[in-house]
Amino acid sequence: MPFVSIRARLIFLAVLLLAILALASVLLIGELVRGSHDLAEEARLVSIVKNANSASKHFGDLKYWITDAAKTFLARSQQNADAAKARLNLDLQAIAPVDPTGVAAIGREIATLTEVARKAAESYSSDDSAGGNALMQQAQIHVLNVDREIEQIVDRSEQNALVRRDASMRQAETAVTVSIAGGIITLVLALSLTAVIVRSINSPLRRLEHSMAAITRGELEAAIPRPGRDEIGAMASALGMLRDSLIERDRLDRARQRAEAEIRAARDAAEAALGELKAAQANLIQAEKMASLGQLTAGIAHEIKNPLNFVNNFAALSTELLDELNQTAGPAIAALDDDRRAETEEVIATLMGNLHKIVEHGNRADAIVKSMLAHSRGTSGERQTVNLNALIEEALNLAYHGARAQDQSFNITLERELDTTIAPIELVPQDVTRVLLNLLGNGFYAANRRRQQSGEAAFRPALRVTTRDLGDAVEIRVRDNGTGIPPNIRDKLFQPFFTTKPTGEGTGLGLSISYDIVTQQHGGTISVDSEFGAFTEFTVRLPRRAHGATAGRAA
Amino acid sequence: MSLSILIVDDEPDVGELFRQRFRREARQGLYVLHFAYSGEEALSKLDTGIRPELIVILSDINMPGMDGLTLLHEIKTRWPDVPVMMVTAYGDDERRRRADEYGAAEFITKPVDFDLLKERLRQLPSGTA
Repeated sequence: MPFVSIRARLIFLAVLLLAILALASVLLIGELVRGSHDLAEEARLVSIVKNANSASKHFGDLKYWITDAAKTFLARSQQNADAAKARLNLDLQAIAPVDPTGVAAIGREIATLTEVARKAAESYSSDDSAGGNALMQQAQIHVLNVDREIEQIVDRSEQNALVRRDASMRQAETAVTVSIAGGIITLVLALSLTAVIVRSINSPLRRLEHSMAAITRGELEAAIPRPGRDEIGAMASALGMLRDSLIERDRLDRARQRAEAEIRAARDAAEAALGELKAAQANLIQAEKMASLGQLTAGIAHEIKNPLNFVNNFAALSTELLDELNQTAGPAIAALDDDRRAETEEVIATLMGNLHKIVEHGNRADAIVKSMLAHSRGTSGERQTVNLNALIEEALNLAYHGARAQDQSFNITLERELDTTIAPIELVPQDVTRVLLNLLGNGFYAANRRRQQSGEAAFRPALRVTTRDLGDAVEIRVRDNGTGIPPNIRDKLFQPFFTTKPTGEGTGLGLSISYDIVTQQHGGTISVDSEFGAFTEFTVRLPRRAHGATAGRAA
Repeated sequence: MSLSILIVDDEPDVGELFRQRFRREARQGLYVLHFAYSGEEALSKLDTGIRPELIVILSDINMPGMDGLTLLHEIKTRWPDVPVMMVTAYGDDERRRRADEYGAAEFITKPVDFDLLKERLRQLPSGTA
């Protein structure tokens, strides 16, 4: 079926149905024609019967008037007899086509009857009544013959008419049966054919529709019916091409999406890089400010240092000179009277005390200046053998007071678990102090920040410093109970310029520099352990014999 | 025999400080102190011939005009035998390296520890000569 086009199939169906209809009609018309012919025949036979009855009546008239004429010799009777005969002849003529034998027989009987009647009339006219009567009896036989013939004609006609009527009725019945049967057969045939053809169109259409629906849903791998040579086949081919183009478009779409995703990723990366650059720039600016501040501090410290040296030196000298004066002028003073001697000695003692105070406070100022210089940029770090715990105490004090100086409300519980058996270690004190200040400052910041953020009334910021002697190394742990470090930024901690503090609060250099100082300068390690929202602990290990360390590295 | 010491510093009080610090030695006739307030003045004083028993102490590297390191170089070029001690607040490696390279006998950081300085002076070869 799929090899014949649907249009051809539909035309075939229509033509076939029309042919069946025409055949049925022809059969029906044939039956009807035959039926009507029989009916016409019946009608003719019925009129023959009428004619026969009329002939019978006219023959009655004829036999009466013949008998009468034969007996009475009346011309009128003879006329009546002729007239009756003429009417009878008309009837017989009507019947003749149908029953020529009967009519011929009747003609012959009537001719004989007429002859016999004429002979009887002659007998009666010659007063031969007996002869007349005998002839009349003979005539009576012919009369009976005619009556019988007519009767037979009527019977035959009626018989024929009945036969015809029955035939026509049968015809009608047959016609109805044929019509019904034909109708049913036609209907069945038409339905079956229609079903077959509709099926031949519908099922491939449905398959195609399924494929189309599937493709519309995006299932491009859905099977497409094998294309036949009809219209559905053409549609299937077109669908196949559509699917191919959709698959191609999908492939292109995916390629484009991939390309777009790559472009987006590249753009995001570029934006991220730009953001990082901007942050780095801000931090650099900040670092530059800090650096210039450091230089300024160093400059100021240096400028103060010179006059301070003079103060200290001259104060120390003055003490010496006063001692000398005391010795030189001792006898002279002793020679004074008591009051003046006491007064002079008191002045000298006070002067000596003042000089001591000047030296003392000068040394204090000198220590501050030294510390400022040591912690500002450009100071050289010399390896010195130091007491690590003392260094940590100093750093703790510096960091704590520094934090307090910045923020009056700052407070923190400091815990020290210092290993008192640690032997002195050789390191660069200024730089290690820097590392410590940095770690302590970060710890203070984190603990304080958690206090500000959490709002927990019971939360107490705390920081613990632990030292341990590991034999060939020392270990310093700085642990705070602050905000902790999110895991995702843990590997960035030691990167230069990485900071979580707001711009201006941190340079992002502290841990980076600390890392350099610990690992490169001292050949040690620095590691971090943290739980977000709970604690952070930095562990610094410094080996006793540093490898590849360069003293005096400017950090 | 007394030893001449030329002290060079642009700060006048440095002279006063050295004079007081070395007053006993001066009284004992161990040292004769000379002062110059610039590199140029130091060179001219050296030209007038207060050698050979001279020790030059440059108490400041940072001086207006001729700086301490240039002066050191100049002195060591013209009078290689004269010991020169450098005193400075800047204890960085680069300056120390250059001072060594130019032939400084000592490099002392400020503030000057005079006891240490005196000790070093006694140890100098020319100081014992």
